[in-house]
Amino acid sequence: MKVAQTDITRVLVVDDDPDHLALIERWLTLEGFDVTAADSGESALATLEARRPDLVVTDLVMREIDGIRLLREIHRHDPIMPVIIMSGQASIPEAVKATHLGACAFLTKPIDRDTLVTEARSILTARNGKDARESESFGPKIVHRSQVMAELLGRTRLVASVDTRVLITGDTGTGKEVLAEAIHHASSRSAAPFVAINCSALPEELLESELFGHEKGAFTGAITRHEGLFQAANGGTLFLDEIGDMPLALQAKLLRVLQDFKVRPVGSTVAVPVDVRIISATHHNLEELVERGDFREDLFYRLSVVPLRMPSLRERREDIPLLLEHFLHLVAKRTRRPAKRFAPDAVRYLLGADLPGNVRQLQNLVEQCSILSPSEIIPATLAAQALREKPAEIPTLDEARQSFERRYLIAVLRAAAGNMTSAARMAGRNRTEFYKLLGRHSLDPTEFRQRATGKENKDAGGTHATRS
Amino acid sequence: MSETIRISIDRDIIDLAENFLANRRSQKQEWRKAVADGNIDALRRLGHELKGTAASFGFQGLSNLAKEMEKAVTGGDLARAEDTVERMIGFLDNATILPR
Repeated sequence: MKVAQTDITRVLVVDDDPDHLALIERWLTLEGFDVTAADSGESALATLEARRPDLVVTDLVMREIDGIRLLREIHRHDPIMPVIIMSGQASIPEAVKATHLGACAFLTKPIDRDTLVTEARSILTARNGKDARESESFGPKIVHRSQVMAELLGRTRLVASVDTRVLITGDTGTGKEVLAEAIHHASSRSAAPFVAINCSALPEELLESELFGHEKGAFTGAITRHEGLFQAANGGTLFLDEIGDMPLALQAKLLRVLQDFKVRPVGSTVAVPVDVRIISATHHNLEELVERGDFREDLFYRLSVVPLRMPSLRERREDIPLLLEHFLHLVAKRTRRPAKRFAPDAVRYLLGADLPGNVRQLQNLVEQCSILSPSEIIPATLAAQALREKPAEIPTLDEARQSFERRYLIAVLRAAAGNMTSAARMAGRNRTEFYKLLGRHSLDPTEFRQRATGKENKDAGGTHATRS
Repeated sequence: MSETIRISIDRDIIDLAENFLANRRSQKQEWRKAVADGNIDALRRLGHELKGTAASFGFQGLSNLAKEMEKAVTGGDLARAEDTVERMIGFLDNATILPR
């Protein structure tokens, strides 16, 4: 008989069918696991604290608390607890949802003994490895030797232990999110989730439903319920990046949440209590925005209980050699190659260089140089070249797709002079789909019609009269 | 439906499989009542749960019947559901476990 690697591997099995529960319990017990059986989600949650299992195996469809809810509850207390979900139907949407929520594996019934055991063992092995790496890499995450950073980190440590709201200011690329995450990890909330969102990256409606959640059918396209990031971060920290770009209407809603400690999802009449620490960040001068009327003063004071300013790289040049080394090692780790080094004159060059993109730009530069350098030592010429080329900030694949799609649609609409039927045909889409695409990019075909008929004729085919 | 159905089951779980059959046998009247009451929810839940559990134990025939019953109920075909429930009961009455 096989025996588990450690004699204290505890597994919690949850199933509200007592026969199936007994079956899974037997199989895992025979493998040498220390198994606790719970016949409902409620009793699983009740035993969780006392038993502290290393792995949870739960059924998906259960009365009251089902497998998905149990998964969420478990991860609220312990975000890295491995969970295997068993389900009757081979239902792909459920599996996707479960995986998205952090389930480690999804097994469909009939449960096969060998598959179950193999899955459990491989998850536990992977987890043990991960733990070690995490604790190792946490400490040196904020690399520095400069006085200005030492002072900032000293203040940050004090702030972390007090459960207060923090506003981090500083230029783009200085590492505001890194600091926010460090605060979270050093706080009493470190076991709960750290959730980050960039407020400038989403249009108002999307941002609203991302943050506060929405009910099914709250608006067109809301086909499922979405709990929102406030609830996802419950017990932990919510990081609101680029808070200065949040639309005024949402600022008002955010203010109410900060006053009442409750969120009301879009389309819902019920406000849900939340316990979330807010850390926000901006590269704007918020006081100026307040003066201009673009940012609510009351919200500013609520968010900025403790202000922290991330210095730009200019102010901490002495950290550059350390940062270079740090990033070189990161690249090496990722590419699984030995770390390269910068030639002394390359380091000297970078110490004096203009790096308006701050630490992020330096990191991109190191990555580029590591990949391009044919030798182990990166020459100054390569560093200089990488800096001159100023590689455009790489957009995410989604951003790139979006912007291409928009440019493409405009070109098609121009070519079809705003005629929907021919534009749709050119694009190889039916009219309905094409309308949807236009709606997604807020493009109005009539605009292209006017250009083609009215103005452009008068202009005798001259430059386009742009309306926007 | 009086022919014995022999199912070979792994020795490690034979007692649990016997329990499973005994538990389901004791539910026969509940099932028939659910059919008589036209209790769709109860039947659907029964079908869903039984389909998975029976299959995990290795009672594939019973699992198939449960699946068929769930489908009939979901489709609103109570007559077929009733017929399938009777066949499930027939399975339980005639099933014998052989250790493997």
